[in-house]
Amino acid sequence: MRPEEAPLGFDDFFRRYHRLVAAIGLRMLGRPSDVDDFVQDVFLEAHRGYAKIREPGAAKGWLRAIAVRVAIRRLRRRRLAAALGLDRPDPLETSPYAANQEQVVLLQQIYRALEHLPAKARVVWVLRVIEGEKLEDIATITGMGLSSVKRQLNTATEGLEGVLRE
Amino acid sequence: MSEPLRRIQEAGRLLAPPVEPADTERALARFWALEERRRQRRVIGTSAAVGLSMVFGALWLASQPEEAAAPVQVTKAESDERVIRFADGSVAVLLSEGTVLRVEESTEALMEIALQTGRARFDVAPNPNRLFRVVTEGLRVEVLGTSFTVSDEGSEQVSVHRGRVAVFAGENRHELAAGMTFALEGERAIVAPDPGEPEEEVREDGEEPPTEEPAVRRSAKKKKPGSKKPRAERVVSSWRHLAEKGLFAEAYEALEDQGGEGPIADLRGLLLAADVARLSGHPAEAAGYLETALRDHRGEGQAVLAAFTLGRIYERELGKPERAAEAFAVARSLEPGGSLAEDALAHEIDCWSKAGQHPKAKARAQLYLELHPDGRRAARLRGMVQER
Repeated sequence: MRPEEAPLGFDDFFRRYHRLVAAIGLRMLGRPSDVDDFVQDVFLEAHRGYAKIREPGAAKGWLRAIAVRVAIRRLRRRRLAAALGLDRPDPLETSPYAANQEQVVLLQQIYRALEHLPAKARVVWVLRVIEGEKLEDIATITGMGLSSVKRQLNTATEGLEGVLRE
Repeated sequence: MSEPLRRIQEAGRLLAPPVEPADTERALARFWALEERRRQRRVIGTSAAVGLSMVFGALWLASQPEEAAAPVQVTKAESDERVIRFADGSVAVLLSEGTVLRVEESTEALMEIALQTGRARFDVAPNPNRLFRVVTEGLRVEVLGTSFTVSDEGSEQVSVHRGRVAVFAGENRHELAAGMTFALEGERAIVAPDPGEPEEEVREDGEEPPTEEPAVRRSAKKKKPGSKKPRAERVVSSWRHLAEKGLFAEAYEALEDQGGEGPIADLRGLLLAADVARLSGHPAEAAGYLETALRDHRGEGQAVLAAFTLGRIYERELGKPERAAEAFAVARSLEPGGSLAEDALAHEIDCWSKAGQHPKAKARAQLYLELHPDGRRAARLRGMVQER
């Protein structure tokens, strides 16, 4: 049995995947200040269903799907809050992460443009381009049909056209 | 993968917050504290949680940043706010206690609202480029400019008051015209003439409803067939009371009848009166209320909403692009960094163009590009600015 397939208590499950969930949160949401709350939302949701997991080897994929769902929900809230005038853009400070100035600028451009995308399109794009997931896997993770995934990806690509052209 | 995407991927994968073991332990401790608090809340019950979020939709231009983390769903609970105004001029009226709406998608092409429970009436501003969709657990209702009520109380139901809607139940599509009602009971879809407003909206006792507004006498609405209660001859109600039930035509009549009862003094009342006039087909009167709102309440938080709505009425319903541009300019000046500022500027540009004021349109387009270089209209406006 591989280590990730061994049954874990919830504390150890949290410890094992905290870093993974935090990284998903930062990539999806683009705001370091949102990551801690995102992590809590994901694990609170995971805790409700954790006892029902029969195959420990599937826990990581299951947790990623929860994280994606939570990210979509938070991005929708953010868009609505922005529409209500209650959300102030908090540009991603990329310099602590990027390896060089070109990457700093590139990430800033990308995450500024992502703010204008619908939640699902944004999440699908991040999964495809940054996480490098296959379309079929994105469909599984997000619970969308393959054609919906393609449509969302097109929406995102069109929305990011300006940045991608530069 | 193309070279630009490969560079993005490479940079994006560096986005990983530094997580030390001590950080994980702190997060884990917080997790258990939150889980315990949530467990206690479940025991106490959830009724207290729903009240605060109502303010969100109804006062959608509120500017308290500290509320940004609150839920975005809109709930009719203890609050007396019932009317939710959307930026495109559409309105939702929450019709029963405990109604929960959630905005699922809000883009230029689609507004999707989930009715999680309860009953709400929607008056949708006509817009051929934007689909307005309401979803319940088993239904999807799509419209391009109409008025209808969706209910998810026991059985799911849609009633059309104006225009046409398409209702999707599973794989089946039903098109409903005004006066028709659709109900989903179990697996069975029923399409029938609308039996009229629900009985609770008919006041049998003739008493004045609980409202501060002067009352006027109104004819009784049609009752449900088979009711054994005595027939109501008259209903006493005020225009605000009717408006908050989504009965805009009746509310407008009552508003007119109110006549010499004195002017509406509060901004909220003026906005509601403007909604009533606009949604009952009286755009010029709606503009009058909004002009008054801007004249008398310019310093208040929702004045920007009055200015923006006024712009939309002049632009779309009264065909006065110059007046519309001026109203959008006011909306922009009232909250330069607000959520409506970009849209207001974009509409202002379009209206100056329609009014033949091309130098003004071009100047505003330049301003737009300076303020919103990555805005949704930036590509189109760059073309305008580059034109001679």
